Amino acid sequence: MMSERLVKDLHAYHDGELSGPRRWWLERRIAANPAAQAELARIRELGAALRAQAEQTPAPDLWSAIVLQLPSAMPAAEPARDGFGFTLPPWLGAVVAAGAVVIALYVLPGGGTRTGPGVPAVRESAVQLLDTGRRPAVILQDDAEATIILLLPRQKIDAGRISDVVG
Amino acid sequence: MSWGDLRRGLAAGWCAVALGLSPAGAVAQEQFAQPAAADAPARKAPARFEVTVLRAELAKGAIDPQAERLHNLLAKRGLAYGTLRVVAHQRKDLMLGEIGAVMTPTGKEYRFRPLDRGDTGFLVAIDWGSNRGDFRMEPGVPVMLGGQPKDGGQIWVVLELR
Repeated sequence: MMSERLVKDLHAYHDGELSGPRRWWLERRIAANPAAQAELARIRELGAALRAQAEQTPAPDLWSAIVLQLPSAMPAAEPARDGFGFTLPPWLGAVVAAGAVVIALYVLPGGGTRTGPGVPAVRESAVQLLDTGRRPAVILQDDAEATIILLLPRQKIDAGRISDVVG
Repeated sequence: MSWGDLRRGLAAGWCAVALGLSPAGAVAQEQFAQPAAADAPARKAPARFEVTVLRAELAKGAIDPQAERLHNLLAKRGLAYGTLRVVAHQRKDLMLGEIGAVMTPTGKEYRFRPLDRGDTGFLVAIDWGSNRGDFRMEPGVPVMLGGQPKDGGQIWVVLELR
């Protein structure tokens, strides 16, 4: 059984945050403790998996660009048969689901524009934080005209069709 | 350079760094940026919200005249509803930290609270069900939240600063 402190130190060691005597001391401790070695191996595996996932995940700017193209990608709505007839391209489901957990943007103190001497006013995003848990959501618009957010159903997104909106 | 000169130099350097980085230093910088006292009444004014609950359907029907602008906004984003009806409309004036709420026909409560005041609007927290968000709202720019199903239609909640 490892102490919480040791586990934290292992994470810090893995992240390269330890130096000098602390690093030397921990390396000795790892060498003498199979449980610590196993834990470190687990942290490394986790880190590698997260890095691999991060490489596959589009950057937030890319998400925004994709979302902004949504209307043109969305065919005219058909009459509803089993709910809403909006049809989305199949790839959008994965993109939306990936972006749904938490969309956290930056919060600047002060006003909603970034200004300064000789800097033209640039409107910041209205959406500073959006947490829909595991439910996918799409920011359809976020500009000086309106902010429009549509929560999508958990089910059937992979099929690329919004046919049932979960309440 | 003597040892004394070095120590004095180091002390002066630390003081400069401490003043620049300390919270007190930050506060001092912020105070320089504070608006003049003449703005005080405006900075005490409440956030004046207008809350609209809409029921939308794809089936061809009537667009409520009150919802014409919102209908156009949704249509521009590909959500071409055939029917849009205003289910509820209310105005709420809230001071910072005060909570307003609106209930939708589905029984879901949308709670909103102005957290901070900006130059032109408010930072507003909205939570509904297990969802939440913080929005930098400005007058005349609605925040529209949709996704609740209701009898084959869909509910939209629109929050706007007057």
